[in-house]
Amino acid sequence: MLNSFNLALKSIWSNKMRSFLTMLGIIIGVAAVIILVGIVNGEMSYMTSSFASMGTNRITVNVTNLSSRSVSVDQMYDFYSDNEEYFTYLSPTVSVNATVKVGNENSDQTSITGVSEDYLDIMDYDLEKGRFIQYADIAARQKVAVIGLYVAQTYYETAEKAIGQRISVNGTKYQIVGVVERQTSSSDEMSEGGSDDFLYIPYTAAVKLTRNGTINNYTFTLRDSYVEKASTVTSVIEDFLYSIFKNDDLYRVTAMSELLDSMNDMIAQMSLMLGGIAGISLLVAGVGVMNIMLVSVTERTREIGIRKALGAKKSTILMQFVIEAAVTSSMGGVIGIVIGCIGTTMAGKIMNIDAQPSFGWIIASFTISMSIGLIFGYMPARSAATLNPIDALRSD
Amino acid sequence: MKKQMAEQSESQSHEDTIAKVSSDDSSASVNAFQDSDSEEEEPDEYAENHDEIAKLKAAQKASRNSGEKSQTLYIPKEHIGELPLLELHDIYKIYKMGSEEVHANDGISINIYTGEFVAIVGKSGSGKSTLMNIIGALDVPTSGKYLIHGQDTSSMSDDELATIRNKKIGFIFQQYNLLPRDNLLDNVCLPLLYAGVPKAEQKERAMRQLERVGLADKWMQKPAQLSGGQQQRVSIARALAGDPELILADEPTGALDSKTSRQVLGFLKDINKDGNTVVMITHDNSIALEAKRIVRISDGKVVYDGTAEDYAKLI
Repeated sequence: MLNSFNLALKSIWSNKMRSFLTMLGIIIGVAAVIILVGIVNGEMSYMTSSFASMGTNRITVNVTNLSSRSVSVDQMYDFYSDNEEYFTYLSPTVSVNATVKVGNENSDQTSITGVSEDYLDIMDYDLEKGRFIQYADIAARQKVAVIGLYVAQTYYETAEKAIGQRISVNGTKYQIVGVVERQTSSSDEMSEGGSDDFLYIPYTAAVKLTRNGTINNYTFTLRDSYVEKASTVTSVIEDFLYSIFKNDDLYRVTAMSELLDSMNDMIAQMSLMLGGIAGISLLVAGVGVMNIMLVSVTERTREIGIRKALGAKKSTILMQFVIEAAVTSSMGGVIGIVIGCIGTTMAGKIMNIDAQPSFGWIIASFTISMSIGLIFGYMPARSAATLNPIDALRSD
Repeated sequence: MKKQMAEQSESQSHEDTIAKVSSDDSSASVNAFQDSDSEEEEPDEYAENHDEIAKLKAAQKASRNSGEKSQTLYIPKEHIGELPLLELHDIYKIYKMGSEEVHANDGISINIYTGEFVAIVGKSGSGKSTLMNIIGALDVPTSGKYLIHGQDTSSMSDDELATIRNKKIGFIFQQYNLLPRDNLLDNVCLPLLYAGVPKAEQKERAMRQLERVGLADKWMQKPAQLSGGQQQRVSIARALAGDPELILADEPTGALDSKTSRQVLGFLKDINKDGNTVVMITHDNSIALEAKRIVRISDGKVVYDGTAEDYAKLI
């Protein structure tokens, strides 16, 4: 056994080119699989996380209030407190189409939204400075505003300087009480109309700025235990709304997690495709290994003949070749893993995603390439080892 | 090394106890080799040798104890009463080629004793290579018995044959058959490796044999870096390394020029003098005459078995 091992190592070393070619197939196969999986996994986790930041726990309700049938804020809050087991937060959201004016400067890109005191938690934002809109502001229809960092930096230089300043919305002055921290990812510039160019005011104040004076949009957040069962909750909301509107064309309930479901489907499909590609590259590597093994054993028939004539038993020959195949393919596997890991990290840096080599796939690709090497090393070696030494010696 | 060039002068009494088995003539079995004479490529001295063979047969018949029908074998005088090292009893090797049976060995019986230097001579197609495969335990006969040191090989498995080859036989091939990627020392170590000799001892014994053939200083070279004669010396060293009872040389000079041939033959004689049994297969009468005893094979049968001196007189 030890003998065969030494013989195998010696043989690998004394024929570096052939050993390297055998390894090359495995190196490429293993590295390709690891890099491929790393990149796709990185891409997927990037997509999932950016999706999650959009709030998978949110349900948005959109209603069309008619003069005869309508739902009021109070009704909505009653429904919310009746069903507290499902929800964590609720906020009416009122989009206002108005011009923001600071001093003499106009900004029509800034989005203005009327919200409740829960809205900061719904969006999962943090404050840079100051405070958020409070229940008292809403109840008293206070003219206070919370602004995005872009607005603060553009018109007041810093967030600190913005606090206490006045900002005019359609001619009405609002006092700035807080600034939300930066939402634009650190690699991008904050821009006009971007995710930091916004202004929040109490919805009670905002509703006055709209034409029909009704609130049409609400955002709920689900408790964690119901995120997976969002469809149950949406149907509860729909039942409630139907009892008011008696017509399901007048409202729409959308759960973000349902979007997540369809995204998960997409991810599953990508994984399947990935599996196919990885499988093909391993298969190609396997065919390469098989070729080289086959050729190298055939090429060495004479060597086998000499060894057998000098007294090597069938099992000794077989052992030598199998160990050779195993050592070659596992060395190829290890090199492939190293290259794969380095390649994944590099690709991740270049593509600006968090690509990491997956441990499971490392094991899987290593095992597969190793078994390919063993099987395709074993098969020709077995027939060579059974060969009559006379015939083997005669071959050239 | 003056020894290797030294001519071996053998003076041996010529009237041997001869008793020759020659199976009653070849008509009994189909022998394809009779038909294949025309396709011989050896451009050699055998082209006309039907006469010669007839002469040999006649000579053997004459010297045979005419009254006895029992099959007695040629025994060299000095080995009478010893147990033979190799015993071949009525060896047949039959190949099937389509519907035709080819008798490569057609009832061969030979005894070879420890310390002999035997040349098995015959032209290609005569069945001498088949015989060499059987003697070398590379192949088993279709029928008949082959005993090495009293062990019957005809019913052995592949692995048992491998052990016999490893322990009892040292091979010298026409094409040297060295492993091209291993250095000389590793090549010589090979039979010892398969015999399970410890590493240090392998090296030491292999080195001793390399010294014996005068190539110790080149031990780390690869076979391709050596001349043909040197390579053949390495293969002699390899054959000797395992201390086998029999050195089996298959056309050892077939690929060498006449000068290196003589050198290699000198080595074979030397190792025979040291007590090793040497069996040499050759197609060349002049090479065969270097041995002490000659067995002539033709059409799968032994047509002459006796001393080299007597053989020299006959041809």
